[in-house]
Amino acid sequence: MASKDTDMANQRPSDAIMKRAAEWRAKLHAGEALAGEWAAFTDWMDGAPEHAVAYDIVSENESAFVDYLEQYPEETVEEEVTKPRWQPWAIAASVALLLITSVALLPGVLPSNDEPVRLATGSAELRQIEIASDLNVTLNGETELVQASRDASEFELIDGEVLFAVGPEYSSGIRVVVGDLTIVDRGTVFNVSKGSSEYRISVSEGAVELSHGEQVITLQAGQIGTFDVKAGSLEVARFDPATIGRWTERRLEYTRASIDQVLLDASRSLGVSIDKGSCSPPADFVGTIQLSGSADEDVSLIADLLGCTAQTSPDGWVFAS
Amino acid sequence: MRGETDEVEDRFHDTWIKLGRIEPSGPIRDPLPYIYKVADNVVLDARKMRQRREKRDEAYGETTSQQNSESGERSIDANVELREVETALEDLSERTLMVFRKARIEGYTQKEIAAELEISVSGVEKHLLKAYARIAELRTRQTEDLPS
Repeated sequence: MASKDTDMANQRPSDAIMKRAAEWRAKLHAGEALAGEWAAFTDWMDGAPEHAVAYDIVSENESAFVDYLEQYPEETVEEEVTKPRWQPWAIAASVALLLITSVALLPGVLPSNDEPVRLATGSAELRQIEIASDLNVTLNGETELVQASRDASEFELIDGEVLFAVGPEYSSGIRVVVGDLTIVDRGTVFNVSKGSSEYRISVSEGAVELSHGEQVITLQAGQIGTFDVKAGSLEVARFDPATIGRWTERRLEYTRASIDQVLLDASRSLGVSIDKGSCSPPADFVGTIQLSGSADEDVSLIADLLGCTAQTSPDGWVFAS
Repeated sequence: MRGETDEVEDRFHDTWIKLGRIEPSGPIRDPLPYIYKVADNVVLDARKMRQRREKRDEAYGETTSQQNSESGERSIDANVELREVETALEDLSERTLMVFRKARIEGYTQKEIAAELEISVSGVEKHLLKAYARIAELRTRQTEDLPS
């Protein structure tokens, strides 16, 4: 029976696609994927026939692997290696932890292994993480967030976009450093997006304090601050707080935004680069773009909205007027 | 998503039935990911069944003994050789294997595993990605094994 997928399976997908498929399988079946991630996954599967072939191979391999582990539990694989080494290790770890805790209590002495934790996403990947009780973050695609302190009170956004939800239980508040801007919050929902020329901070509940050098400005719920990196200036505007974090549903809503911003948001969500090229649309964009997740469709939709044409380039897409 | 239209319809039906049969161990907090997961498993099961059937049909003509009757879902997929799985297991560190087992087989959340092993959640993820990267490498000869 020569079926279509047999033909395709004859060409093993590239290592990069296999790797991506393995990452999806890990996230969906060994992690806690949210509905949005499943939707992103089905989009990825539809993206190219090799994606589905790769995912099927990984799924079958994984299922054989799981079957094996279930049939030959602990003693054959785990216990003989685990028993002699794990227990002393566990004791050592507990002792070390005890030491660290007591040292940390001494004033002025920092725990030596208080290493920053790096949270990151690949292209077009969404990730929701519960950092602590009442502190949730959602990472947009191509995002890198560093949790600088163990008590989760300090973060640095290296790149990308993060939605922070800080509940009332988290009374100690958090600090987020973005370039040379610092955001201090106490119990709010706010979104931070770092672009190359500007940072955007929007607040839907509570308030945050922004500080840049000596200057301090408070952003209230319903306000969006756009920080111009070169000029070091901040422009505050109103936005609809209900629209915060809509990018988690692939919905881009703007009351007034630069085209660079729109393209940055779209490329983050779709995982492809979109270059403005020679296209010169009106300076501001107002409206809503509902992305489907298929780069081809979405990019041409955005090009239409801006009155441009889109062409593929070696890096992704480039617009022309 | 995967397969022909009528197959999609069949799988949809299977998923529906399976959802009705499964008795989850607790309340399902978020039903949509749960349904997705069941559907994904149904597609994989159907695929494995079909491959077994095709393999059996082939073997029948060659009067080979029935090597893979449907002796339950737990039987190891004959497409992946045992030795391959064993080699992969040897390649993985005990920690990685432990994390995989807890996450995938024992059903612990990443947060629970992180707390138990006293590592960060992203550390747990790293172990899982390592395990899955090795799993993806299994059966590089798989394409030749498929019936044509």
